[in-house]
This record gives sequence, structure tokens and C-alpha cells, in this order.
Amino acid sequence: MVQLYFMGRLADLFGASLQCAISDKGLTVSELKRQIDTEFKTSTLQHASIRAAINDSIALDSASVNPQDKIVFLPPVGGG
Amino acid sequence: MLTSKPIDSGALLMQFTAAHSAAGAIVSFTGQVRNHSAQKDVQGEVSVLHLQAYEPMTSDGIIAAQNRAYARWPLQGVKIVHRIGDMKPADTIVFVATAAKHRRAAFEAADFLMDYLKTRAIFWKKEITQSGYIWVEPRAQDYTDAQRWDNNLQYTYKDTL
Repeated sequence: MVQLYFMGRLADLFGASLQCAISDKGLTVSELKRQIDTEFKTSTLQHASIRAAINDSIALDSASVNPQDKIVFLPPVGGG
Repeated sequence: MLTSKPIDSGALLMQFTAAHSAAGAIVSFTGQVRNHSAQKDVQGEVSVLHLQAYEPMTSDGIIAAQNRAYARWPLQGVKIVHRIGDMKPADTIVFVATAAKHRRAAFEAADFLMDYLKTRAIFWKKEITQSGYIWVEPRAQDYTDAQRWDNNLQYTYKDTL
């Protein structure tokens, strides 16, 4: 299971957090975005402006996600 | 640095000034919550502004921006306090203070830090009005302001000022 968190407006659609079962082999950020979007019948996470952080570091779409990772999806920041 | 409690910028400025009594220049900026939405299609007054951060990434980013300011200007001190959570119009949302030997470094560093906080800091901002709520993104002008520092990597500070 990976723990997913959704910040800003993404939480309106996906909820603030959820757990997601992934294969033991892991998958990429891009594959995880597709898996979640498919489940929620949306393409929101496919947008290039949506970044992901793995264990509190910004990750590329090609980065590997492993079970036990904490993944945070970040929409464009709004400024203070 | 991040707080969900009201910010007293007067008290913070007094403490900062006392801590930097040898500085020739102290600059401070206080940002307040506006009562009118920045969004064109939103009617009515803002009743609540909600600011969400993601720790530790938000604080790490602010510390990195602060370090860039120290590397770029001869600063004697920097103080940044940013509110998170729910705020009302006129509440202080951010306090930034800089101390330096001369004024130009203090002014420019405070300006640089505010541009970082307005466009690149990891915050998500929600305006709540009578007609609902909207997630706010930076204005085009905020991005243009922030880019000034990317295009001008040399010191503009002159020690003779």
C-alpha cells in the first residue's frame, strides 16, 4: 500500500488522503497518476502542472514508487 | 516560521530591531488579507482566506530562499513569519524583516523574499465568499516580479549607498 496525499484543489476531487494498493514490483509516478485518474474517472493528474513528491522530495514522472512510500500530489502553488 | 496564530508585526519588528541594534538599516514588510477577491468572476467580500502549507517542504523552501538572500546581499539578519490556516480580512498573513549595514541591501532582500513567498513558496490559497470558494493562483504580475531576480544575478547593491 502507498499512502497518497492531495494538496490544494486536488483534495476537493480525491479527498485529502487515501491508501492505494500497488504491485510489489512498484510502478512509476506517471503510471500511478494514470491508475488514480482511471479510478476517479478523470484526467486531472495527467496535467503537466501537477507535481508529485515521494517521501517529501519532488519526483519526476519517471521516478519509481515503491510500497511504503508516501506520495503527495501538488497542484500549482497559490502564493502566500 | 509558519504559525496558525495571529501575527503581531509590531512586536516582531521591535524584537528584530533590538536583536540587530548594530544594523544601519532595518526594512520590514507586513502583508494583510484583502477583503476583495483577486478573482474577476468572484462576487462579494472575502470572509475567510484559508492558506494550506505542506511541511516540511514549505519551511525547507523558505529556508532555501532565505539562504539565497544571505548569499546575494550582505545581510545581518532575516525574519520571516507566515500565517497558515483560516484568516479574516485585515489579518496579517506575512511578516518579513531584513537587517543590513545599509538600506539598499535591506530593501532588495525584503523585496526578493516577498517575491519568493508570493509565487514559489509552497502554499495553496482558498478564498471563501458568500457565493462559495475558489482556489487562488498567483497573478501574472507576481510571476513577472519574481523573474526580476532570475534575470539579474549580479548584486545591484552598492556599499557606498
